[in-house]
Amino acid sequence: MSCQETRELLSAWLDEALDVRERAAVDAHLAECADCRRELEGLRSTVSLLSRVEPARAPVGFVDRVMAKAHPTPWYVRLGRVIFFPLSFKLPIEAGAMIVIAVLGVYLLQSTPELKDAARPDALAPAAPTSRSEPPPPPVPPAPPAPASAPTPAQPPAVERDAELRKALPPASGDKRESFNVAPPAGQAQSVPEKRREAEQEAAPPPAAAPPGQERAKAVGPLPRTAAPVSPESREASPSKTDPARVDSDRKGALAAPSPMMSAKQQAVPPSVTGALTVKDRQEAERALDDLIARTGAQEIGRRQDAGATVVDVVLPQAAYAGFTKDLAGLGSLRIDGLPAETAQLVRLSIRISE
Amino acid sequence: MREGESADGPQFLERLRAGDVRAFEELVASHQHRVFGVALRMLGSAAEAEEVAQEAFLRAHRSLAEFRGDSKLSTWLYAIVSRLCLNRLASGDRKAVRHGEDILLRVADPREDPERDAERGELEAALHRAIAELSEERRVVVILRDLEGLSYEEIAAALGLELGTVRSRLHRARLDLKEKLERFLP
Repeated sequence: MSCQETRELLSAWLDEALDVRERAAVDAHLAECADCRRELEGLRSTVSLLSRVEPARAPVGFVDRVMAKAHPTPWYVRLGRVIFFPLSFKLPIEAGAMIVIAVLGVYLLQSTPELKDAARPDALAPAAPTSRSEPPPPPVPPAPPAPASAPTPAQPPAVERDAELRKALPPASGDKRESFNVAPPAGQAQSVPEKRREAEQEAAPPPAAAPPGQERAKAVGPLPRTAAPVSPESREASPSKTDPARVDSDRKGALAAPSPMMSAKQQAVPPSVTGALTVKDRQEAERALDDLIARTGAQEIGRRQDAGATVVDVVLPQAAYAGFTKDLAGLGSLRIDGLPAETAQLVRLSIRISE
Repeated sequence: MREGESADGPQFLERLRAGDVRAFEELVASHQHRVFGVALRMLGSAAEAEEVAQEAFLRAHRSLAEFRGDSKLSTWLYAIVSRLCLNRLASGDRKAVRHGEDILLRVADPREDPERDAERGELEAALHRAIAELSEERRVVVILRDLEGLSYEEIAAALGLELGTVRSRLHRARLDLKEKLERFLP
């Protein structure tokens, strides 16, 4: 076999597509011919290169397109798809229905104020005040317990009572207002509305019972009817005041409820001076003390019975203190304990009258 | 194909002949890449290749009743698409015969990896160019043999050629490729 004949069969030799006789002849020639062997290796390498060509892949959707052409959809089905599925993608009808319902629900809720109000969780609650900044109406305080004896006349407003007190107390210096404003600092910053609120709080019903430890502190507070200076005439017009039972009743009332007559300034004055007055007739001495209080411009802020003695608390200006104690000494045997503070404008004096 | 059913089994063929839509869909799905690949290598255009490949399956669908089963279904499909390509190439009724069509061939492959393409890009391009520059008669033979793996007998049956003609065309095609790809050979 010549080289030309051999080389014509080399591709078939590589593919094992030769019959036995041809293959044997080619093998014999290749064993003797180096050129034909090089030609065979060249063809083998070429075929090997061709095997490295990546196989092609049909484009996506090829099967669907072939099937659509092989089995065309009837016209009525295509018409239905055009009507109901105008989009190029298939949306599951269940998901589409849910989306439509959700969008409609939100739209209705937004467009209907009644529904929006009904959906609010606090819709069932009572109508809220129109403005949060507006404070709620103050509770109506229940009427204070009526005293067992004669009805107490209506008390003047706290501001008016304070004004009365200012008039009653002579100023230590030229300015009457200034004499009160320099009182102990706890009460200086209080304005008139604050006093009003304080008076209203004090007028509120007291707790059922006060602890024993608080009794003395409250007892030193002024009684309502002693807030204003009491003239001898008025004292005579209300003889029940001197009645021990009456006084005891008032004292209980004072213990039960802070008196609205006692202002913050008065409460802030400490009992700096105590006096023990020994007299022959205690009632007579009390009347004389009332006259002295009215005369000197002092204010009685408390009176109580204590172990056969009468304890009267008064507040008076520093300037009137000397004259007050001098006149008080004329009522009996007086023993003063303590000295008023030099810087204080008011002096609180507790007088114990005993026989 | 159903379980226990081969691609050329009598049961599957029976379903195809009976007009089973599902069976035909399975046939298209299992042969789409090979049929499309032959058309792509022959025509060089992905769009033309898809058009011809679709036409090949549609002709098969219309001719299923006439398929006697003498050859494999795949060989029958190769025969259809090869003749369609040769007819199209011979008619000159092509929308565009593009130079540098190998770019399209590469783009048509969805598994194209830029890094990998950079490594083998030159060889790949040379291979595609060399195949595309073969004559149509030799190209179809080398595609069916060296790319699709058909036997000489199958190629002869598909193209209606003598076995010797197939052997001769294939050898000539390989010699042409060897000459074009010589710089890549060891």
